[in-house]
Amino acid sequence: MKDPVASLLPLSPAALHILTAVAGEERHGYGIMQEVFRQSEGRYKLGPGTLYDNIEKLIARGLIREVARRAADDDPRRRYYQLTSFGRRVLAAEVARLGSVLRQAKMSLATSEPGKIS
Amino acid sequence: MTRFFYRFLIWMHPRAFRERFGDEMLCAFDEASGASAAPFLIDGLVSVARQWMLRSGLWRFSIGAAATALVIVGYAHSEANWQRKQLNAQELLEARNAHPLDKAEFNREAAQAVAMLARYRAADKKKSDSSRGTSAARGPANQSSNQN
Repeated sequence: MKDPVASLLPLSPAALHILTAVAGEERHGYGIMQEVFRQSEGRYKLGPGTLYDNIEKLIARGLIREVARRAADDDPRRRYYQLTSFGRRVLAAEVARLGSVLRQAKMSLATSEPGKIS
Repeated sequence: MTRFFYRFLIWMHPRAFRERFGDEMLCAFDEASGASAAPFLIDGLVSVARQWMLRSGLWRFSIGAAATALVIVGYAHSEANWQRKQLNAQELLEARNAHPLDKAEFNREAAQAVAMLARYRAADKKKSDSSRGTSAARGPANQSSNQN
């Protein structure tokens, strides 16, 4: 039987950013958009359409879940999302995979000479 | 005006998605009101297309349409090639008819072939006649030997 964590890898860039954004604390949609913008140092701007399409998929796969609103004076339209324990395992596996790719890339760059074809 | 248009885009989404996330999308739009509206509108348009494609099974239709288009293009290409070959054959025929020298050469070669065939037939007839004459001469001798 296939590992349920491995079957979800690799994650799409949007899914990876969203999981990372909600890994620290629960966030609402616009909060996730802002966090993704901050994480990527302004390089990746997630629109609401893309965000909620991914949120729907991540909820269906059990990686995130909706939690109750925190404050009574909060905008009633806001919904908050947090990472599930399964989502945390998937995110950890993806980070490990990306770390391995990064190590390989660094080694390849360190050993290769410019213009040399092996 | 842009908010109205964004609301319209949200309304264009499939009902299930709109009812689940429509308010949140508008909330995010309102909260980002200081930013440029263009990326939101583009994202909204892309989202409408994506949601309808995924939810209505339209992606299957799209794949089918793409495959059909490929088959049609392939057929048109092969048809064009065939017509080009037909044109080339027609040009060759016209070119051959335009040069009487070729006809004369053909006639000369045909006459040579006919003459060669006639020579072969004559040689063949001569050979068969000679073999018949030999067997006729040998016939009575064989009969007498059988009687003995």
